[in-house]
Amino acid sequence: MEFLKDLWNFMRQRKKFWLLPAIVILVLFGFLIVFTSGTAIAPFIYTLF
Amino acid sequence: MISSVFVTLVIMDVIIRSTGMGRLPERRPDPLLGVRLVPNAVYTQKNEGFSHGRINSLGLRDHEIPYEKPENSKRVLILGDSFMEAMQVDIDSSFPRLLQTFIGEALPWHDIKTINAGRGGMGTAEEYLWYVTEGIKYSPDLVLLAFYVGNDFRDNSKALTGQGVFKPYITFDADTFWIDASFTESRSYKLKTLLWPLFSNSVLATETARRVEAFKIGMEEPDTATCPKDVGVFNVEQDSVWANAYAVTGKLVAMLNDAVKRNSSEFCLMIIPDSYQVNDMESDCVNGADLRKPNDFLREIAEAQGIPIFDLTDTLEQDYLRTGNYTYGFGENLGTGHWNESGHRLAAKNMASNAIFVKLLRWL
Repeated sequence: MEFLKDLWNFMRQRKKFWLLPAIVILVLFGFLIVFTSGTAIAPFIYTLF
Repeated sequence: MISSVFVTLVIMDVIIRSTGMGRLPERRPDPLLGVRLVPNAVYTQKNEGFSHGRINSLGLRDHEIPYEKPENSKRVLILGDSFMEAMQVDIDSSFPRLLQTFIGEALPWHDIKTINAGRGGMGTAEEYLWYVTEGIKYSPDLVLLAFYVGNDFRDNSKALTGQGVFKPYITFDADTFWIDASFTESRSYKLKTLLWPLFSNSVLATETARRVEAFKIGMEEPDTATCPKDVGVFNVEQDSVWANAYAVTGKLVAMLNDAVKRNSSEFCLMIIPDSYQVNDMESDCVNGADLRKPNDFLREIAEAQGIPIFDLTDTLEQDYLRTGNYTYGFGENLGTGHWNESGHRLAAKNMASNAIFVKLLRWL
């Protein structure tokens, strides 16, 4: 939590808000990787991708 | 801000692509077949078994094969589903490739090549549609329909397959038939078709879609302790839905046979048994079921149409009873799923040493 506060203060003081989308995207993709890493599709289920 | 988002996405795409964490799609939506393999796409299969390779330039999981047939050469076109696509094993360990090798040993004076047109999830309707639009371009001398008892009946029935699958169906009415391509009207199909340019170029987009799709399926999947609904194919008394799946399958096989004969080619049917018929006969899921019901039905259809039929059930079952080795499954899931290397080898060896099949090849 402290880290997030520091990060926000850093972006605000240095006016580096362009970092925000990059951080959000990285966090979202990180969540996706973590939550789907153990997912194995059964043999006879066919996905498009 | 917008450029920050864009630059981040591009950098992530490059990182995922260069580290091998993701790959572009090897299948794409198709208005005729529902799904089609993407020409030249690189695939890596890890879910069941392992394989890594490239789809050929004409969209087949096979080595490069041109449409034009060389002089004095004969071709066996293999139609089938995931058992023939055989993503679980290396391409050279798959049934179609091994069959060619073993045929070469049995008939050294004949130049006979196999062509693998298998694709996971295909039913007989898609196999028919692919044959009449694409398969005939290869001028095959023999068309071998590899029919997987475990889910090909289900794949021919819209009621059994359910919604949300990109798949055409063929419906019969008296002497006519029509193609039900209603999947093209679904929101999911329209969206994936619309976004195809993005998916086909962005590993990040594809990997995100792949993971979300897998996660959704994982959430929906039934408890592994329950029996798969596909075992309904073995029920002694069939309800109207399964009875219809059987009837439609019979008509589709006959229709494919007619189409092949119209193109002056030979047609034959090969039955790929389900693992319940080979090594899991004692399972509670098939307690009281008639494990040979689908085979008997296909045999009746084939005999009525004069189609040579090759049933691999006895071969695979006897091999299991004799050796105790599984020809289905991988790792912790031995005994269930798709053929492993042993399954492909045994099936190919059996076909290439079948006197009737060899005679059929000799006459081509």
